This record gives sequence, C-alpha cells and structure tokens, in this order.
Amino acid sequence: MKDQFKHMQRPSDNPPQDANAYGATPPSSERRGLLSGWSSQDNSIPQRDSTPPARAAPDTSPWDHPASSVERGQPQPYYSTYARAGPTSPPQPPKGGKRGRKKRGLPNWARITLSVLMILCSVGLVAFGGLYWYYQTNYADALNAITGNKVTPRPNANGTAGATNQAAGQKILSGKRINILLLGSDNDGKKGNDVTPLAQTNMIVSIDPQTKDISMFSIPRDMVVTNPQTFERLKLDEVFSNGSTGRDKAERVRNAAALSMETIEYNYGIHIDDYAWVGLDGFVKVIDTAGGVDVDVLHPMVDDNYPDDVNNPNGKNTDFKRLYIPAGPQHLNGVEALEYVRTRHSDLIGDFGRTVRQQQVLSALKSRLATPEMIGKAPELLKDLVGSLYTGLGQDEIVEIGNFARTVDLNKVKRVTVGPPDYAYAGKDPADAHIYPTCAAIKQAIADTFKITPKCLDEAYIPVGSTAPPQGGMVAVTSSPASGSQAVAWLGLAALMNAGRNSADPVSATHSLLDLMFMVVFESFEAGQV
Amino acid sequence: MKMKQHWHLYVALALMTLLLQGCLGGDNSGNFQDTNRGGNGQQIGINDQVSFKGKLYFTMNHDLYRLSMQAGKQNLVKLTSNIDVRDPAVSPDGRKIAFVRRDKNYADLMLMDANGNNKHVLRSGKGRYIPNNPYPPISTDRWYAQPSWSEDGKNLIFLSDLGKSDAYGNAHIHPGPDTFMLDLLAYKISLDNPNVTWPQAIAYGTLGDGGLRDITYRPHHPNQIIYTNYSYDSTQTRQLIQLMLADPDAISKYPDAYAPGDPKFGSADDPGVALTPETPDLANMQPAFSPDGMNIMYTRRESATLRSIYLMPVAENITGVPRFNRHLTNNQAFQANQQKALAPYNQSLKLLSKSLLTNPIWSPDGTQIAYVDNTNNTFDLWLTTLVKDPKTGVYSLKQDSTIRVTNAQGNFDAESRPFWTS
Repeated sequence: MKDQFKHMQRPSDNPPQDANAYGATPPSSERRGLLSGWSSQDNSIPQRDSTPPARAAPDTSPWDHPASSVERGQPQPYYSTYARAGPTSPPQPPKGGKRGRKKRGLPNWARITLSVLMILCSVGLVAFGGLYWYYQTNYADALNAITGNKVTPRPNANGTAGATNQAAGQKILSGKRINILLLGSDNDGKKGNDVTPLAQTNMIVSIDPQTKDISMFSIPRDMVVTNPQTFERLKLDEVFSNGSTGRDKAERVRNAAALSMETIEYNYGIHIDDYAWVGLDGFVKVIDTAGGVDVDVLHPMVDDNYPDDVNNPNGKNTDFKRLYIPAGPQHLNGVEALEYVRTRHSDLIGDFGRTVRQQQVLSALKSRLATPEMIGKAPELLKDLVGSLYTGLGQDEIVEIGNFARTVDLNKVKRVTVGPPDYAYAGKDPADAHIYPTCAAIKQAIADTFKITPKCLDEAYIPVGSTAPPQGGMVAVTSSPASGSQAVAWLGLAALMNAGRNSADPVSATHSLLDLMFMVVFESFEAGQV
Repeated sequence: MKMKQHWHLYVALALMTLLLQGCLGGDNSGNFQDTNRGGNGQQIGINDQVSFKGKLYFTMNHDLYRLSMQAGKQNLVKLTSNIDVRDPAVSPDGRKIAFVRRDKNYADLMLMDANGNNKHVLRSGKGRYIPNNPYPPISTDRWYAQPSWSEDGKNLIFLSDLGKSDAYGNAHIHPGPDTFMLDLLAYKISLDNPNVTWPQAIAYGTLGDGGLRDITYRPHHPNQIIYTNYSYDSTQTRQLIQLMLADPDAISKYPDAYAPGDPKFGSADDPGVALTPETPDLANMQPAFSPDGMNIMYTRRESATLRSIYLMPVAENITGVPRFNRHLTNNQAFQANQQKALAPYNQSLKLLSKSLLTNPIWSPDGTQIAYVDNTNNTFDLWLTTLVKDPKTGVYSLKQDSTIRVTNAQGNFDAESRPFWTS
C-alpha cells in the first residue's frame, strides 16, 4: 500500500489544489464502481446526487484530513469523500496537549498544595499515634503506679466529713496552706522487712501559697506518739510499720501513710493534706541507671557503724557495715553514693558535713541527668522509682510543686526539728531509744510554723480504758489512673520538643518525681532545687 | 561533567564520613586498640600512639594491670582477677608488688611476685562485730591502704585504723557523740616480720576528718616521709588539708610527746612539718616526689569544679628537730624549721587544671608525668612530658605532649594510686 503519509504536506507550506495532493488515487471508472457500490454499466442504478456535500465545519487542525478543498467550498466528488474516510494521515498533536478536550478541575498549584497538606496530615496522624504509643509504653504505667495514690479523710465520729484545707477541684497551690508529709524508709529491701518497713523520715513540708512561706517540720522517728486507732503508745517510725497492711505494696504504703497522717493530726493537730513515701533502694537504682556519679570526695570517710540495709536481703535491720571511702575524685555507683551521703559518723561536723556531701552528689547526678543520653533514659529512670516512690499527689500537682520549689528563696525556708534537747527528752534508761515530747515547746513551734491552734499529747496522756472512736481519720482509697493521659501525652511530648518544663508532660513529671525523692532521701528542701 | 553535577553529593558523603568517625569514638590523640573487656562489659582500649619508658601499674574495675612498651607497641597485661585490688606499689628491685585487697568490712595487706604469681597475705584486717550493749557493736575489722616501699626494699609503710584499739587489743570506743577515733594513721612494718602485733606508728592523724592519705618515703631520704593530713579548723566547720613531712622515727623516739587526736585542743600532737599553709578551705593533697627527691607534684582543689596539678621544691633538713608541744612558743628551732618548710610553697608552679584531676605520678627518669583525669564522664590515665629549662631549672609541660593512655569506658579506678617503675 502506498505510503499514505508520504505526500502529506503542511497546509501552510503548499496549499493543495486538489485531492490528489493528499494521496488519494483518482479512481478509475471501475474503482469508482467498487468504491461507490455502483457499476457504471448498470443503468438501473440511480445516479448519485452530484450536489456537493455541505461544507464541513473548519477543523482545528488542517492535519486531520485533507479537507482543504471542502473548506475552499469546491465541490467534492463522492469518491474523494469516501476516499478520505479512514486514517489517511497520522493523528495530530492537539493544541495544548489534549486532543479536542478542554481541561477541567483544580489548577496545578491547588493540586500540589492539597497533596502536601494530605501528606502532612498523614504524617501527623502517624506521629500522633507513635507518640501516644510511646507515652503509653514508656511512661503511663509507671506514672500511674507512682502518683495519685490518694488517701481521703474518713468521716468524723459525728458523721461530718473529715477536714481538708483544699477545696474540691482546686489547684493545689491556689488555696490555703498545704501540708505534705514526706516519709522515708531505708530498710525496705531487707528480708522480712519489705512488707512492714519503718519510716525513718517523718517530715512535713508546709507551703502557704499566698505568702510563699515554706517550712520543713521534722518529727524524730523515736518520738513517742499515740496511735489513734489503738491508743497504743509507740515510736513514730513504728506507726508506719503498724499501718502497713494490704494486698500489694502500693496499698500497704497507702494504708501506712494514712495512719501516719492520722497519727500526726491526732497528736499535734496538724492536718496533713497529702504524702510522699520514698524507699532508699529507688535512689540507688536511679544513680545506677544514670551510670553512677563522679565526685571529688572531700576527705577520707570512715564509719564503723553504717546501717547495712540496702542490698542486704538476708540481713536484719540491725546489721551494720564498715565504710572507708578515700578522698579525691572517683566514681561512685548507687550504693557507694548513698553511703557517701548518708554516713554521719565520718564527720566531726555531723549533719553540716552531710549536707555538703549531699549537695555534691546531687549536683553531680543532676549534671549527668541533663546530658543528652539521659533524656532518652527518662522512661528507665521513671521505672526505677516504681515500687520505691508512692504519693497521693497527681502528676500535675507534682510538677506544680516542683516548679514552685525552684522559685523559692532557700534562705527563707524555715526548718524545725522537734527533738532533744529543746523539744523532747530521753527516757531514764540509756538503752531506751524513745524520746518524749516537751509539749510547751512543741506547741509553740507548731503555732509558729502552721499558724494553727496547736495540740500536743504528752507523756501524761494515757487513754486507759477509753473506747472512744478516733476523731476522724484517714483511709486509703483505690487510686485511679490519671485521667486525660492521652491528651497529656501529645501535649507533653510536643512540649518536650520545646525543651521547656511545662506542666504535666511526662519528662517534667519524671524530673519532679526525682526532685521529690531527693527531698525525702536528703531531708532537705534544697535537694529539690539543685 | 557528571562529577560537577553531583559535587554536593560528594561533599555530603565526606561530611558523613567525618561524623561517623566521631561516633566511632575516634580520639584526636590516637587510636585505641581494644585489648580487654572491663567489669562493666565495655571494651578497654590502649592508645597506640602512646610511648613511654618503664612500666605503669594501675587498676581498672579493681583488677591490677601492667602497661609497658615492647618493640614499640603497647603491651597490657592483667595481673589479678576476681579480687578487689587497690594501690599497687612495686618494690625498688622490681620483683614484688605490695597491694591492698578490699573486702566488705576490712582489707588485707598483700604481696605477690611482679608477674602476678604467689599472692599472699602480709597482714589481714579480718575481724568481727562484738556486741556492746546498749551501744552499737564494736568492730575488730581493720582497714589497710596505700602501701609504700622503703628505698632498701626492707620495709613497708602503710595506712591503717589499727589505732582504734588499745595496746591490749581491746576495743576502745567513746560512747555518746557520733564521732569515733577511727581515722587512718600511718605505720611501718619490716618484711622480715610483717605480722607483728603492733606495727610502729610513724605519723598521727587528727580526729574527725578521716586521718591521713598518700604516704610515701622521700627518695634518697630514708628518714623522711610525706603525707596528706586532713583536719578541721578551730571552728570545726572548715577543712585544713595540708602536705606534711615527718621523721618516721620521731614517734618511736619520743612516745610521750605525740598522740592522735586534735592538737588544737591540747589533747594530741604529731611530728609533721607542714609544707603547705594551714589555711581554712585550702586543700593541697596527693604529693608525689620527683625521682631525685627534690621536688613534689601535688594536687590542689581550687573549687568544687576545678583541680590543678602543681610542682614545687621541697626544703632539706627540716624534720630533724622534734616538736614536743605545738603550743609552746619557745620551741624556736622547730618554728624556724617550719618557716623553712613553708617557704618553697610560694614557688609552686601550676602545670595544668581540669575538673577532676587526681593522683599524679612521675616517670622513673623524671621526664614525664602520668595522672588521672575525667573526660566525658569517664576516668582515664593520661601522660604528658615535662621539660626543664637548663638555665633557670624551671619546669613546664611540653607543648602538645599530653596524650590519653587508656580508653577505659568507665572501668578506671581513679581513687587507686597508680605506680610507675623503670
């Protein structure tokens, strides 16, 4: 077949004069018959109408078909029209890229913008899901286990609700004075004593949000008090142990803390709003997770009677060990760091020397915790606290108190320890470790610190035969997981990217819990500020 | 043309390579060949660029190691394992190593061959708790620390809390306050009779601040020892940490003149002559004599976050006059010696400062020093070269000579004094 394209010419180049220029072969008479279906010899066949066909509409492309003669209005033989049927020329590229179709829909810039937005949304959804999963996996369980272990006042004997300083639903530092009992136990890791540890530290941190007054009121562990439930006279550290009942450790701590809070209010009239309990093994774990601390030990430390109550599971709570810590720079693991800060027999200057050492270790620890590698270990640090730190405070409350504590002028923090010789006296038997309150002095200290009408049950108060029920009291309630944790997760982790200590983000909560632990371990408000 | 088109890719690859080098822990002072695994599971590396004469002894994770050069390469040998080793001290003839083995409540003074064989106990500190109702129990355990050899190799001096017992071996603890006289003092034993019941006391400490540290003989001076004395000032709130030089035989010569305790309250005295001032909060410690015995390096705690290594000369003939009572102002001869002893302090030359510098030691030929420093939260051994101006005799550090020896990855024991032999 003859190449149909061969003789094709651009209309602008050489306008064809006849159809033949487009490759149409003029038909012979015979071909005409074939083409038209008529035979010229057949007179029965009617003649074809010779009227030239209607003028076709001008094509957008002169390349579509060789219709120039039509356009020019010249009559076209039928055959030539027929001959033009079919693909006698290649399909022509349309103007604007589409053949004969007008484009519709969004412009390109809109499509691109929409595509980018869709991608961003997809990424955002994936990121949110990932952050939520990350929070749930790494923080939620631990934070929920540690915080919100509330105790609430039992109804008083006359049926009225127990006293509280805080209005329901109020932010913790927006109302009246708040008193938080800090409890510390250092023999929780011992065999047989893990269930009912003593509380060697009993310290009330009292905060007046209006005046920003902060006081630390310590009651020595050996102070004799009256158990409001049994009216038994016993040492304050034993109260915690007596109250330690329940199915699991969290419940035992809650119940023990509840009894300690009730006992303090019963004996001294000081209402306790909340508590935090710390076991020393948590401190050891945190330091070990941080990789230990590097400290310039101030002088050689020697102690022949250091309590051997951490990492001594087969021992007794009366065991001792010896210490010899050489002077100078060295690396301390968790146990060694705890020994360095706790030993009190190695210093002629006693507790003052201990405070200096505590500041050293805290500074070194916090420097290490601030390194980039430690940020990633925040979940691990938090898990170290599980089982070693319980509090009734919620996550928001802890962070709020932690942030408040950092703004406090330490020089204005009042410290009172109601021990001998000014506030208490020892028994006649030198072997007796009990101390007894000097109530006049203690009442004055309570009035000055808490701005309340004080109370003090002294040695003379022995409710023999009394069957009166306790005046109010505390009962532990089952804590519920913090609400809104999902929203907190997203907000908190986003806040982390701004490296700010915003309220309630899990990393800030972790730091604030660590600060709380340090305050209890070192019995010092400064420990939460370093 | 293609290279020009992709130049940015090549630059990015080059940068990534450099960053990767940093991540792999490349040290700008050499490459660390991993030779051992420390107790914490991390690999211990030795810098293949380090070069020195003699043998260095130190502990990592309380295992004793010896580092030396052999055919131009570093050779690290582990000499002990499964025991807690502190403060190695090699005998002058290089054949024996004295060291301390620590246990939970006590320590043993030990001896072994230089190759790590034949470990045996010279003196054991093992004891027990004895009930002492109504007071806390009394411990008969003992500590030992920082042994040091006499130049003739016949005697060892060391630190111990032997002093908390009386002459009859009975516990002698004061009841009441929380402070006990447990501070470590200095003693001497003969290798011919190491297990003598009561070793000779050679230096006394002061009550309540931990006692003495860093005791050694002054080279070529068999009648002089140097140590760090820790005490509190008269207000009992600020520390006095001083370098002291003493005649090790003064106490045995004048037994009634000296006693441990607190000399400020007239209850005790010691024969030491102060080489550094008695200034509250001034902390000079860890002296190390040069091989010729004429200079010491020591560390000073400048602040809570900075320590420095200093070098100063030490006067001669300042320990021969005993002091019978610190408060006697007519003890003029002793006072004159004291002034003479303090005079070189003003010539102290600061060699370098870092946050946690500790335990500097001299090379046997006096041309290098080794010390322990903390970088990136890990302690390691470092070396640097000393140069001495031939005209002025002033020492300085050779520029760019400081090099890190170990990459101990948290295993280096900074509190254990290292040792350097020829």
